[in-house]
Amino acid sequence: MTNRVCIVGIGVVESTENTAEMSHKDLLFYATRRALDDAGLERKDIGGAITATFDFLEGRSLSNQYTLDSIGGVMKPCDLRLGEDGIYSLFAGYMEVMVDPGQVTVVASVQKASERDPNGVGYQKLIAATLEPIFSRPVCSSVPNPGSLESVLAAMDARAYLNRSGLTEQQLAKVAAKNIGNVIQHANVSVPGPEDILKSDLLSWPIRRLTSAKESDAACTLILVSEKKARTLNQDPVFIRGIGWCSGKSFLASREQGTAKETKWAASQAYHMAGIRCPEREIDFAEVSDWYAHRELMHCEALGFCGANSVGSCLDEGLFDRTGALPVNASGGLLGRGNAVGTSGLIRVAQVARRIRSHNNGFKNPRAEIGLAHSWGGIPTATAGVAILGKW
Amino acid sequence: MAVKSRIVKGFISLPYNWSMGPTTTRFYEEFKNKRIMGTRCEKCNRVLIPARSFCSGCFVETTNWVQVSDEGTIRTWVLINFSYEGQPMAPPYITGIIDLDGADVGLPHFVGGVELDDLETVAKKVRIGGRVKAVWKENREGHILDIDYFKPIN
Repeated sequence: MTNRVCIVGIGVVESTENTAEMSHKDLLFYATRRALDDAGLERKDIGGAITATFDFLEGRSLSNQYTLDSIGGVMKPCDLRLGEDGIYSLFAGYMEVMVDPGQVTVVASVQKASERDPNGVGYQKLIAATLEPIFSRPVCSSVPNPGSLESVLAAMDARAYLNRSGLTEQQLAKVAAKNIGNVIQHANVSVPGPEDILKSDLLSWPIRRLTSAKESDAACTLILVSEKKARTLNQDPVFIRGIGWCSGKSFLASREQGTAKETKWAASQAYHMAGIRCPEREIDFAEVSDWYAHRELMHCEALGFCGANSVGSCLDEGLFDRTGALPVNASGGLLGRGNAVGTSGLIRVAQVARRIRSHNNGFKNPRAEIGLAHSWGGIPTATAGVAILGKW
Repeated sequence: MAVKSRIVKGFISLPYNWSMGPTTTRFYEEFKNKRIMGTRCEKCNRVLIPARSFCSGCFVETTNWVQVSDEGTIRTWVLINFSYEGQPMAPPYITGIIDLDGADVGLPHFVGGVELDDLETVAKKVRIGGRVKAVWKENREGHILDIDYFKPIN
């Protein structure tokens, strides 16, 4: 491939920066400004801009028209991908650069969970609204506490997975302890162990408060250019070696519970493009959707990081630990850092790109040459996106 | 069997708490003192109202606050003499876009203080390019409607 696509600018704003006080337009502006500064570029250099957001999550119709000025997209060719996770803007941006290798493309996403109600009921209503209204909603709307609808649906998925895989609740707690520990290990705070995780509130067995990711605010912008263009810039490019995405059945009753087939298919597309035959040996590290602890393990299995029957033993042996052979969610993942629904997929790409550049808080992984970013659309959907990034 | 399709009624209620951010918050705080404040972009010199935290053209932060006039010219206007759901007031009334002196962005607001019975008469007093001045409310709370309306002058 002569015209490979690479990431030359990364800008992320997360909820550690008092995002609740910022307007969502400001939040996205700061992320984009940082990404342009990182790439050494200005707005005039932007050839096209793409955002992926959700109207109902933001409370504005055609919400990404509203944030066009925050991504430097005014009077530029813009692609507004509504109702898709941020990682889809990367896929669209990749294709734009392939079509026009001279172009600088901005891909971006923003999410402000703090603008919905603090108890998370608003998000639960949205989940209820994603269910088809004739067969599923009459059953699900009878759930007495609207805050529990998401966990009810997640629990059905988790039960099916534990039943199939033989994994235990203790192992789900281990995943959560690992990811939360990955974030706070540098801070002067005690790291919760699996036993502490198992003491957290039970939302809907086996889903607990600490085995499901908390909603958060975030904005993320990446700058994509062709390899040829990257050579003219004073920045370490990170190559996008493979991309893949897939959607399964969205109708609740038709969706296979306890599997992640869409992730498997998305990964096989990305692996094929990247020339990866044996992911467990060729992928150095991964950022994988851990919206719920059980989903991380399900996704590791679907991504081919371990055999179908060995995910539990791989976890127990520390394969996915920060110091393991294939670190998964060394950033802390969604369980550790919070889940900016609809934006988190692009953030996972940013985390992987940063690790490859070794800009991630001084953390240096001797084998961080090929990384995988994965996004899953969340409980009402059966969508997945995979991106494989690498060095020159 | 020929059947008529049944209808399922639906309704979604979703409350939000949108953050104005510090820049818009200050913009409205200044309204309490009858001041319309904008921010000036140091690169292109445009004065943005309502005050913005960044210039979308130059893509830089804008932190230089300037006061703009509460007088300006009408860019365009519409007489609303019919009812619709969620209307800000009972018709008839005029909505317009006002280009305030010293600002480079228009302000959508009401044009008032004129008799609205006859369109011909209205059009003589309210016209594109016509001068208007803000009429401030007595009790101001830091809200866009602290300005009651813009009244044609001259």
